[in-house]
Amino acid sequence: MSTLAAPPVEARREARAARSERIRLLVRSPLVVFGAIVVAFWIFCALFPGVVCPYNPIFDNNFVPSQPPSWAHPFGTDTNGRDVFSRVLAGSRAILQISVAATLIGTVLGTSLGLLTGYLRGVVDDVASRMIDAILSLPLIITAIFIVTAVGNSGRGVVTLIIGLIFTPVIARTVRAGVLAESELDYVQAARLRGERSHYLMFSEILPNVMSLVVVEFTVRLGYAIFAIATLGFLGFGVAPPSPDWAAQIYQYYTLIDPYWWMTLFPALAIASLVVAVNLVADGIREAYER
Amino acid sequence: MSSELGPALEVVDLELAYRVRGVDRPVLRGVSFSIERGRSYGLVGESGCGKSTAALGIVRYLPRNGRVTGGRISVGGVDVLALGGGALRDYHARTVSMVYQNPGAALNPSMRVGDQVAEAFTVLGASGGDAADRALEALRKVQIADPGSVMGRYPHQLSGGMQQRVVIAMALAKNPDLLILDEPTTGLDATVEAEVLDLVAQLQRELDTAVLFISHNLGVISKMCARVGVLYAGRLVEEGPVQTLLQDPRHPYTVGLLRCIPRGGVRKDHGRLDTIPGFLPPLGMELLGCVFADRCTLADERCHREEPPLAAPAAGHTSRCWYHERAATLPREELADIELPAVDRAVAPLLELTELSKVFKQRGHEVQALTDVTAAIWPGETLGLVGESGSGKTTLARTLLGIVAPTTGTVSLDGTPLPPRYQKRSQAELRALQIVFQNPDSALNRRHSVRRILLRSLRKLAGLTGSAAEQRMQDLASRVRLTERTLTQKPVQLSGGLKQRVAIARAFAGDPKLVVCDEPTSALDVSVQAAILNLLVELQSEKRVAYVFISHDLGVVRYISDRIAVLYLGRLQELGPADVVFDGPHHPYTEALLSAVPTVDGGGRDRIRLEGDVPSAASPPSGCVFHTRCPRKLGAICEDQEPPLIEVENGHLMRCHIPIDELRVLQGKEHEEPVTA
Repeated sequence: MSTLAAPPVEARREARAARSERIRLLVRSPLVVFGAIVVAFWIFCALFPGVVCPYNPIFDNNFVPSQPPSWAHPFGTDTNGRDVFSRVLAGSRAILQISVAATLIGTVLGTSLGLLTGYLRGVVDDVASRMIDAILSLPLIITAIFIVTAVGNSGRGVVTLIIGLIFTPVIARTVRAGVLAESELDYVQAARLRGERSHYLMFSEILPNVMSLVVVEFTVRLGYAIFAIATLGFLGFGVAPPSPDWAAQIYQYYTLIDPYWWMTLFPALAIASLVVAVNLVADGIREAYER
Repeated sequence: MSSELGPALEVVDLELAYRVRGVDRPVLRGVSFSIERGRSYGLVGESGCGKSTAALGIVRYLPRNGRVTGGRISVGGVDVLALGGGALRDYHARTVSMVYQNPGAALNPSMRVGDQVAEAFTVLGASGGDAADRALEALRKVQIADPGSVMGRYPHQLSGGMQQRVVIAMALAKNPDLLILDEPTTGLDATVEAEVLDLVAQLQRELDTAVLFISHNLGVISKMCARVGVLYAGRLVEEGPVQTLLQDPRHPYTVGLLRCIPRGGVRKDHGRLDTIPGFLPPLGMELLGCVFADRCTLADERCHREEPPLAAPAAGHTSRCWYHERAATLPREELADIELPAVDRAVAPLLELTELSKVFKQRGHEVQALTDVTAAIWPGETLGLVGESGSGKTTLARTLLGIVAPTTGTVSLDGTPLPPRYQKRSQAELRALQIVFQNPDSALNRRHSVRRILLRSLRKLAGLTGSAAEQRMQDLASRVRLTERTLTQKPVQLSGGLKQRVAIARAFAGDPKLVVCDEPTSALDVSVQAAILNLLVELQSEKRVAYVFISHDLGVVRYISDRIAVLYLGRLQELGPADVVFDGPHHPYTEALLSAVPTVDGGGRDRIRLEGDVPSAASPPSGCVFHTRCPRKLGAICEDQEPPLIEVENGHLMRCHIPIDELRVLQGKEHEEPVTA
């Protein structure tokens, strides 16, 4: 009998349409699709190196060393007589593992910190925000090198943790801004007025509404993480030879770039392709969410 | 560039569509109307009917996915749709102006007002110094006091009403043939709205400009326009002279719209509001017959099958309805009158506010938001809070909820003082006082389903879990008329009215004793507003809940309130039974507020002008705070002494130096018979 008794079937359809619209937006951009394909390719290589690599990247070392690219070895062979093509294909594994793990650490810590500072405000927020500003005033990679050197250990785990920690303040700042905006909305006030405790307000009321921000931040940071890890690897931190890691290969062979350019160029191109592809996907996701 | 012959604006069979997901969806369906030079024309309709789209089409500012698919628009005899490049620029620069709803967004925040207005003249070819002179003149013309100093200020330093005047000054700089005003006063206080409307009317007479006035408010349209067109789902369903159309509406939609508006002293205890059942057809839906057929109680099979022709009940009055001669007999929904027992003020009050004051500290300044507010609310009663923005209505509501702590004074519930902050209040105290917010979009968590929202409230406020909570939720949902399906949906999937119902259900989860309604219907269309008001009244009759009802719409406040409190600069100016406060004699401020409201009924009330803006609460005027704007100021006594709040009649408190009997004479109430039982 009331004007509003019937639920609008249209509204339902609209919501579904909005979701598919978001996916459609992603798929419509050829750059995003291209990026996604490249990323998927590298993930596949990381998961199934045995399927894609013609030779074992570490143990098949009986080829003529230091051969330029040829039909038998499209990317040539390295000084140890290994197939560079196989090593490049297998090399995505370590960097993807470390970057995803590091970005996850940074996202989880950063989101928690952002949620806390944005929700509690006051002294906690002031102190944390000033510290974040101080950390962010230095280039991330310099901070990373500084810490790695200070720690004196540059194993995989340590590099993962350090990159994660360095990303924490960046992500915290973005999430905090989102939390501040959400806290102003009436639904948070309504929850307070029914006596909800802080953890419920933060995790059940506010967090779901800043998740899109977190997802975007994760993809954007992932691109940076790959780049940072490659940089550290090139400087000799992180994954060590004989692992087929791209940065480790460059670290190992860049002094021989003349005349053995192929040993450095192909791993470098691989890094570039992954970083660019991840960023293309990240841009697409950000645009789709920000509309 | 315009010919003196023919209308200033002529729209013929305009068809307009938005392209969404690769499909053209019609938004305007064969709209035709024209405006003579120097005349004003109103377009009314609820949101989503295509009013603004029509305006954007006329100025050729459609979004990229919108395009005109048929018909003709001509302004001053020039075919607007054929304009391109330089001619279009010239059309924008010289022929047509548009004023939008939000003046704050229409002005460049980083440019001084003077420079912005001068720019409007520079575009027309004026030199720098000349433009500045003309800008000053333009500001003077829109009645800005001290235009010289306003020229040097930035937009954020001006009040909303001043900003809108500046925008109007810029729009009129080119002396346009056509001025389009799209909801120009919707965000403004009633007193400011009245001033801006007066200004527009006066300027229109002086400049002989044709005006297209878009508004959802029939009262504003009836005040401003000679002719009016009613849009529904992109079709002009009725058109005619304002007075004819309001008094003898010939389309069921117009009839329904007019019946939704609480007016003419209708009150909750002896009149339910009519609503318009159903929903606006979705954007671009294929419609075979009459666009309104699905919601029309007069509609028969022919209405669904065949588009009605344009009928002309009178010269210059047209209606697109098969049964226009029967439109006025549109069957009403048979809503039973509500049993509302009289409020018993002999018992102890439910909530007592004792000398509440609130001082906000802002960068060293002290802002007195509330001063010594004392009032009581009895069980089952509605107290309406009225006043311009900045009067302290919201602060008062937030203080009693404990969102802000009063600087001094107490709030007592059932005789027990409440802790000032909600954090310190017990669950039972929280449960007793709940709120329904103005904006249903932000009041509901958009990631939670309706079901989750309600269950959580039941758990926290009623202590219910499991099947008991489930049962209560079903009960609650049916009480506010939410269907089973709505429960599984998330707020984005619901219309504004449905969202507000969810918010109301949430507030009622713990059987509150008092619910603060902070402008609960101001974001809604009138037909939805009527349904929500009906619901609030029903709930009040069932639950004996008390409301504190804040609204800037005085018709709504009068409809729902038992007593009214009028606030000005944080001080209670008047408090009394709704009818007494509205019918007078009333405080000069109340008088001015009431006379500012444009009503559908028109009425012969002489408007009392309030000069200027509300003074800053950081430095309130001496004596009576209203003396700076009071049209009935006595003299020095008003400037020196703050009048006390005294009971002038039984249950009617007022803060004014003028004795009530004198006010009665001044306000012309002395001949009226006192209301006898």
